[in-house]
Amino acid sequence: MAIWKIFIGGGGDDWFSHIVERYHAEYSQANPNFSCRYFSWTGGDAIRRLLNGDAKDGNISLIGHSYGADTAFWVLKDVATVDLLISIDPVGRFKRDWTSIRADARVWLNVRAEPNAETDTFDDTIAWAGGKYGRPPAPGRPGGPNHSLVANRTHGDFRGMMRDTTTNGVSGRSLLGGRSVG
Amino acid sequence: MSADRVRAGRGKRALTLLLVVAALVVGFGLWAFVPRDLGVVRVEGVRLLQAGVSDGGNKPDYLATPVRIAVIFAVPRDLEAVRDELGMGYVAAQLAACGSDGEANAQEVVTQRAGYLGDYGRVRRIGATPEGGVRYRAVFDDALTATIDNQAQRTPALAASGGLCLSLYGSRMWFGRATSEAVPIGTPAA
Repeated sequence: MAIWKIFIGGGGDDWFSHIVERYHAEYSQANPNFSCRYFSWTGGDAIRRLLNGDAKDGNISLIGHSYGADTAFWVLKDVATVDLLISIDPVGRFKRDWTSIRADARVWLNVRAEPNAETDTFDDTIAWAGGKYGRPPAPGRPGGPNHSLVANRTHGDFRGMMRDTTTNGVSGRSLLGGRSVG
Repeated sequence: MSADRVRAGRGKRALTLLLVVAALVVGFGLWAFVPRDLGVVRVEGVRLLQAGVSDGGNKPDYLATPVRIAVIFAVPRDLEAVRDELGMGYVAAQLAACGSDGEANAQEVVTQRAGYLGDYGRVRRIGATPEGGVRYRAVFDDALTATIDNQAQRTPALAASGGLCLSLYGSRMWFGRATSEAVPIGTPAA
């Protein structure tokens, strides 16, 4: 069974910030046996086609950042249940409800950036203005992800939020598996 | 006041509002989409680091090429200060085929505010120039020069027609980027 790791970047990621795009490039280089793909947050239809086509019978992980996480949430509505969903500080104007998202992923980690006054940046202001998702229900509650983190990090610190661990020692990086990147 | 003068007054206000909105849109466009200047880059030396030679960084072997390119370059000002001043999230050094429109073949972080990109400690500030500038050493993966000829010799390529060029690139998470001119690095010594 093919193992698919599908990365979805947020606003401007494929254009000038390249945060998730670079992460995907390094991860796919480190893990040539996985089928890794990168999409922009605007690529929802292409992701649906992939998940309902070539990747239909595969083991699917979706990793989304910012608007890319919101894209992942809405893609889940139209495809079979995925094996892993990692949503890193999701932002979206038309928010999908937590319970529906929870039903569409076997394992889900959500990380929310909540920087303090010292670490807060312009990125966080824009994320707030863009419609940042609130905190999901706690793990174990209806609609709650399996794993949830609140990180004292700025919105753009995707790598940091992938590295951060829950009290149970779970991180985006550990759930993603394979050879880790920095 | 006549109805004509009232209409004229409203027209002027509408026109003023339109001009203000247009100015704001143009201002935002310039701020967001016109790249800022990261300064003049001068290449002072370049050499190949052969397989097994330490490059001083911590990039895992599975992400690094065996042979790497070390470039010493100088810029007028400390790049962390420049990043702060321009409000960029990160500044990276890039190698690309000259004339390739900035499509980077290798990139390493010089400075960043948070974990935007993988930083494997391959760019180090190594001192000052006599003119008061700042000197850095950057180590890049040797993606472009990895050509192997029929005798399994590395072609120290240099690459692609036109050679390799070094440039700086900075970006915000949202809106805004900064660039420098791309400068040829010349032929690396083995």
